[in-house]
Amino acid sequence: MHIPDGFLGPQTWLPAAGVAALGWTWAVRRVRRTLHTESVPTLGVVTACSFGLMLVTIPLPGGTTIHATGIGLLALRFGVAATFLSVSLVLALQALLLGDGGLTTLPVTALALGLVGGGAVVGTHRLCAPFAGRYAVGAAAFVGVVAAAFVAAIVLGLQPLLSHGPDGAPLYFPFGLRTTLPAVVLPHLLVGVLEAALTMAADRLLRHDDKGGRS
Amino acid sequence: MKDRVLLLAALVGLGLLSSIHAPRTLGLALAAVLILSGRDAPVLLKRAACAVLLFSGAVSIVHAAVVLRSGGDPLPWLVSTNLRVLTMTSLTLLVARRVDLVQAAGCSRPLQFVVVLALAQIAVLRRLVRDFALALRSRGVDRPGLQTAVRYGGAVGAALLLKADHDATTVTQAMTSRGFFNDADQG
Repeated sequence: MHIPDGFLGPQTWLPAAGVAALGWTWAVRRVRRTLHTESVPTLGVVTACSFGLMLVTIPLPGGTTIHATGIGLLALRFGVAATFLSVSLVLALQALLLGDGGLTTLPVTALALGLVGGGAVVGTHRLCAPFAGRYAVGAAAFVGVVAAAFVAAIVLGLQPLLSHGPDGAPLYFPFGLRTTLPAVVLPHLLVGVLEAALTMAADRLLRHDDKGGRS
Repeated sequence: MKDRVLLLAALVGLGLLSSIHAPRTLGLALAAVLILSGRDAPVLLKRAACAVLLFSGAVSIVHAAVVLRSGGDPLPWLVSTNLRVLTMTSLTLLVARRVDLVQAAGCSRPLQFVVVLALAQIAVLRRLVRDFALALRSRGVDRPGLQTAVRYGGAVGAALLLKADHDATTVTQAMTSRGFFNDADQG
């Protein structure tokens, strides 16, 4: 879901930046209220791990790239607000250090991954936890990735409608929803399975460490 | 302060570039970025090209094929979009070289702390992953198979996660003992 700068028009990224700014303000307030000081280092660690996971990307012909995200782990351990902040930080670092993704596309990607994806993870986990047990973690991670991919596909697919020349030719991302929805969402079903397995393993590991390693 | 101003100026520049479609203006902007980067220009351009190659290349090839098939001319879109993407990515990488990210995040101490910790952890993880990969390769005559690599990667990933978590806890304890969080609470 790394969309480089230049593929989204100002008609898209400016409103997205406004929404993201509101989201960041809400997230900072919420994190300050709910997260203990001791959780800050773990947040830094998971941010770094999420950074590493997002580095392994595969390009898709219809647009964007696929990669594991780590949002399942982030959202389940820290909640939606911290996930949104952490993912935003990861995306900013990737854009600045590696040129991967972009700073103007960051609000859209952060909203898709951190807010929608994180929210879907937490919501699915709450729904599934009573009857799915530990598999609820995997289901939540899967839904989070697919939900984020769905949002990214819609934003990309709307570009030809939002920004086009007098002759109707696209000015930014050239493919419509008919291309982006299958091209982005279908491969992310596979990524979702990978993310689910990874999140279940990491969650189990961290829970085990929380019980044994700190006492 | 200087770092924050530079970062803000770059964001404004990126915003302006994102609304430009004229290839000549975009070409001039790219030239300006390369002149500003001085002797680093070839390295910067190469890094920017490599960073966007996968995405831009895939989209450009498919779009060109679709437009050619319908009898149109894909060149105007290909030139303007790829020039815009390359210029914006080059500018971002140039700013990243000139701006101290830790200083730029100095407006909030907790944010600065997370940035420092994340950057340090990223450096540690990168080095350890490289060391582990070299270690695996050095153990056999042939290249390790996919199954071996996946199993080894999983084990290494788990070990790294625990190590990073442990390191971060140690750092927090050290910073707590020096009163960092007391100052942060007051500030």
